[in-house]
Amino acid sequence: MATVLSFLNPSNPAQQILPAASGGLNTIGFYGPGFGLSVKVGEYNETTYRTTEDGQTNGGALPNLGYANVSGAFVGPSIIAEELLEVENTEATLRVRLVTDASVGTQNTRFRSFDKNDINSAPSGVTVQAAEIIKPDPVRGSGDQFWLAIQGSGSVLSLTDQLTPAVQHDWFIGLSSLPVSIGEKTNFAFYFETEFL
Amino acid sequence: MDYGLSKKVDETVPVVRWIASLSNGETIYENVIKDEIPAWERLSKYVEDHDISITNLRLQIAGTEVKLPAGQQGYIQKKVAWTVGGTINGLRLCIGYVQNGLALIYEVDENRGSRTQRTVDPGEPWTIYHADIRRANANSI
Repeated sequence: MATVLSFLNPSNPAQQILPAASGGLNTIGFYGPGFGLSVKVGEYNETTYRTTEDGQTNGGALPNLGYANVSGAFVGPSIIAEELLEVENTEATLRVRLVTDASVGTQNTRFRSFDKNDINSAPSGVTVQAAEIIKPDPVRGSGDQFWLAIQGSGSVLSLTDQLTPAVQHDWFIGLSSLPVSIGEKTNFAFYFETEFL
Repeated sequence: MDYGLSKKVDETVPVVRWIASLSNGETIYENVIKDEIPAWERLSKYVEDHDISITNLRLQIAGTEVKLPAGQQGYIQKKVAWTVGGTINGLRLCIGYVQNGLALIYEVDENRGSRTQRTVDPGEPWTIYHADIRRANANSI
């Protein structure tokens, strides 16, 4: 088996966001109160779905996180904000999984949003907030305390090194998106990279 | 102690691989042993235990070879998995060396065959330094 890097539903790892070039359910879609409903300009998403590139096919709900303030998020349908450090792994928007043959450690792991053409260019018309979530158990989490607006190479989310050797590594990422202008925003995508031996 | 290192091409040695020449005259080929730590970590332990150094490092990929200059202060090897969306979209294979406080890294994309080189801070935890430098560092602690 070769090295495999996957984008998965954090609460249901069997549900995969397919490769970008597949043409299938390859997109994380941010919506208003339900699938297919727009997010108001200047407001953050209320629901998140796996969908197709045009946002028209419902491939199942992903856990929704809504940006509440610099250190807080609305989890699922809740209207009461939680601290990011209290958000559980399975409540994150995205699970990124690396599987390798050898038992490896990882370092310099980064996640960015971009305009679908150049990984260095920020997406236009949207603000994307991201935070690493690390809370596998009831203990207070150890991920990011604050959201970071990720924009191409100008602002990249650095994820925790996982130096303990393992054949599988998971990262959990919270995402929330806000349109800054009217109209569907399809020209943004996510890029992830990690180093190992 | 068995380090599980391959001194010739065998069934554990992948087609795309690094090859290290050692100061004791041995040549080590990257191998993959399921659930075992990476060959680079095993090599690091081996050179430390035997007080020897890497004298040269090569990367073989898709019929081409990237060869680093011999006799450097340290050598680096790592891989960068990257994806847009899900499932692996690419793997960059990187080898490099440390000299005079800088590390020069060569990256080769496994799928695209493209090559880049960049200079980075040598603060790489996975660098295997020359035995003289390891000894000097150990004495300074």
